[in-house]
Amino acid sequence: MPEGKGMTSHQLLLRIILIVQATLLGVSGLESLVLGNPLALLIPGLATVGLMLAIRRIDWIPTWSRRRIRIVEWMILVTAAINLLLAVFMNQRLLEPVVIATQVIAPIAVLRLLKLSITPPALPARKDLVHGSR
Amino acid sequence: MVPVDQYLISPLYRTIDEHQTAAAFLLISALVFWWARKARPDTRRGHLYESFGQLGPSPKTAVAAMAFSSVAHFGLVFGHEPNGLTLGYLATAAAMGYGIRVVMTGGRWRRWSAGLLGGSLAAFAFATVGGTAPDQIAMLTKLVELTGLAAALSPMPGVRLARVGTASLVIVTAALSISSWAGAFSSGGGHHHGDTPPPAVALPHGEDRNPTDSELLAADEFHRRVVEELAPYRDAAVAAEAGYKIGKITTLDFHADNPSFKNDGRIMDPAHPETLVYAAGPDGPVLLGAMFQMDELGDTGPAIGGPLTVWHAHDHVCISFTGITGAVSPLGACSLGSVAIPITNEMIHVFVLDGAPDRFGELSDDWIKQAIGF
Repeated sequence: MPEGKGMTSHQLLLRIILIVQATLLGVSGLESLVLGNPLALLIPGLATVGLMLAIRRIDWIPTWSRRRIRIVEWMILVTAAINLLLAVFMNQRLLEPVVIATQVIAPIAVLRLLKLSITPPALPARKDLVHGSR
Repeated sequence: MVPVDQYLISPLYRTIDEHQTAAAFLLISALVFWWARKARPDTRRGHLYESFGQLGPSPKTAVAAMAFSSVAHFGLVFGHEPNGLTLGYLATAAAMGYGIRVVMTGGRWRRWSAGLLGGSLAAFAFATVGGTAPDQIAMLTKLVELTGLAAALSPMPGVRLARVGTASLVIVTAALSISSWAGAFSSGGGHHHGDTPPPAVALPHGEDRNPTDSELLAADEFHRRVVEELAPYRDAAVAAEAGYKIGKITTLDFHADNPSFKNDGRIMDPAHPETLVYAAGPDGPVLLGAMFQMDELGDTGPAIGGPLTVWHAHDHVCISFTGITGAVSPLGACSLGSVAIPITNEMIHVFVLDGAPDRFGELSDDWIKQAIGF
C-alpha cells in the first residue's frame, strides 16, 4: 500500500511523531561516535532502524512491529524516569521543557496512538461463516 | 538554592532572560485556547474553535505549530531591544498568522505550512551556525515547528512525493540538531569568569577581574609544586603502577582516574591528583597535566589563584555502561541507553606542558597537536 493511502488520522499522527523520533534517536546516537564511544551507538542505532522499519508499514502495523515500537517507547520513558529520579536525588531542577516534550509527552503519545491505530482484520460476516462453503 | 543555580551553564539548557516574555506569552496563549473551548458556537470565538476542530489531523497539527511559533516570535519582540532582529521576529509572527488564516479558510495548506515552517527552521539554522546560542524556548519552538512541518510533508500524495517528504523531514531534523550544537559550541568557550560556558560545562558565578599579586604568587607556587610532583608520571607506566587507569590512550585529552585518590579527603593535593591527563603523541603518551576534583557534590573548590584558578563542574552529561556518551542533545535526549547526570563534582585542570597558554583552564586541540609534535 502506498504511503499515506488509507491511513487513519491516528496512524498519520503516529507516523509523524515516529519519523521525528527515529531521526533524533539516530542523531543523538551519532554523538557517541564523535566522542569515540562506538559501543554506545548500538542501542540508539538499533532503535532507529527498528522505528524506521516500523514506519514503513504504519498503515497496517503487524504485531512484531507494534512490539518493536513499544520496546523503544518504554525504554525512552524508563530513561526519563531515571533522569527525573537522578535530578530529584541530586536536588537539581526538574526536567527542561524540551526534555519533557521529547522524553515524556512524545513516547506517551506514541503508545496511546499505537493503541488507537490497531485496525483489526476485516472479519467475514456471520452468514458467510455459516454458509461460506457454498 | 538548587545546586545547579550555583553555576552559569550553557544557554542551551536554560531559558535566557530575553526569552522569558515569550515563555509567558506561550503560557497565556495556552490558557486562552482552553478558555475558547467553552465559547458558544454562535460567537466568533466559538466559530474559530469549531473551524479548527473540523480540520483534518495534518492541517490541524500544522495550524497548531504555526500558532505556537507566531506567539513565541511575537513574545520575543518584547524581550529584545528594537533592532533588525526584532523586526524579523515580528515579520515571522505576522507571516505565521497569515498562514493560519490561509489554512483555516481552505487555502493550499500544505504549501503554506511547509513554506512558512520550513523557512523559520532554515532561518534558525543559519542563525545558529552563525554563532547564536539557542536556549530552551528557541528549541521548544523549533521542535513544535518541526512537528508542524512533518504534518505538512507527510504523507504527500503519491509514493514518490511521499518518499521525498519523508527524506526531507529526516534531513531537516538532522540539520536542526546539528546546527543547534554548532550554535551552542561556537557561542560558548573558555573556563574563566566572563566566558559563556560551552554545553555541559558549568562555571561558578564570579567577577571577571585581574588576579591580585598574592593570588598570582599562590597560583605560581601551586603550579610549580604540581610540575614537580607530576614529573615521574611523564612515564605512563609509572602512573599505571601508582594506580591510575591508563588503558589505551588514543585521544588528545585522555583522563586517567585513580580511584584510590577519590573521596580521600585530600583537596587539591599536588602529590595526589585524582586524575592525570595524557595526549596520544606520535611517539607515545604525553603527560599534559592533572585534574583535581572535590569529594562532594556542591562543594566549592578553593580558588587559590582567584580568577586564575576557576573550578568548573559538568552538567547534563550522558553516561551509559560503556562510559560517557555525550551531553543532553539540543532536542532533549541522551542517546538511548544512556541517562543524564544533572551535575558533577567541581574540578580544575592544571597543565604542566611547557608554554601552556592557559595553565588552569582548557587547552585547544590545535595547541596540543603543535606542542606534542603532530
